[in-house]
Amino acid sequence: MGPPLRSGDVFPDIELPDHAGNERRLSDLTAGDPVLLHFYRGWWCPKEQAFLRGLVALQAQAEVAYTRFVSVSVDPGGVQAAFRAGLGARWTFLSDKERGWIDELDLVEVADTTNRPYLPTVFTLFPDRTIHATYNGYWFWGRPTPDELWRDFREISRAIRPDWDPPQ
Amino acid sequence: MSWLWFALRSDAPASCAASAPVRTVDGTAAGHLVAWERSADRPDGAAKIDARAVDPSGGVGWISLVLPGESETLPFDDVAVAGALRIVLALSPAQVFSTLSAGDDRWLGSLTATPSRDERLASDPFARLARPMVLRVDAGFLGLTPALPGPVIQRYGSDTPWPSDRFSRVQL
Repeated sequence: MGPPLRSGDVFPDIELPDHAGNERRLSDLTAGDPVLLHFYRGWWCPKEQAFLRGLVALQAQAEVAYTRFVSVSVDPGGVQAAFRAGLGARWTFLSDKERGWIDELDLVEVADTTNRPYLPTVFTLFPDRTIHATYNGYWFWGRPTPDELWRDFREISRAIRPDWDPPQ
Repeated sequence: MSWLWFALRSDAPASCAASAPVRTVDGTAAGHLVAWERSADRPDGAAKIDARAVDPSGGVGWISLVLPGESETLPFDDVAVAGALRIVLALSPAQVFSTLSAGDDRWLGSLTATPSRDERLASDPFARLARPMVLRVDAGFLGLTPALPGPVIQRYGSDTPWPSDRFSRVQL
């Protein structure tokens, strides 16, 4: 059983290789910004392909809104790099191909005994990795909509940006 | 995040934070990369660079240096600059990447560095904006900028180069 993953808890500072093979820590990737942390089954899943296409559409807002995306799966880095390039995603993908975190986080999709992938889950995080909201994406409609993500990031940004109310 | 002043000069000044000679692909001497500590006084012709791009203990490397003349620079928010930044995020990370800037709103160029003269250097997306100089840099200058998280392409403050990757204040 892994650590609790509820709103208000601090998400573990996972360290994994990225799609290009660089060792990355979640705390370095957050760097003072809100984060969408996204665990997905793998490149082969049509639901993940559909959801990731939605995130690619949302990155046009995120790229000007000081908000980071991080996607995690058990796919090897080279597979993630090709998947990322095909999608047109410009954020970091982390590879847990050694399965060092999937059990620790208790995020295994036990219903898939062939691939034993990550249970599709989306977290919105504060920059210090405190969980703002969790979305269980086992069924597709459990995943966050763009409107829900917008609302989450508005609430996080309002809390962390000292000048949310414009200087007078 | 911090920044330094940066320029390509014919000679290394007596006082600077770091400098290293550079050569063209055919071995011809092409001057010196020079960095100065952050200060209110801009050295003549210098631009701001992400401080992590410079390390006086760094090794030999290769750079693609895009330095349009001051009359040919673009606003930092020009769609051509934004488009090149998107491609930088899509490519494999380089050892060093930093835009070069001055004032609040001007893009003055970019520096991309790799340990060897490789495909990443040849695919510099800023080469579409101005002719790049591909140069070999001696030891003593090149640092390491962390692989960029993406997808943010905005600067963290109008007086910083990109990627300088965070605001100085967050309320937690």
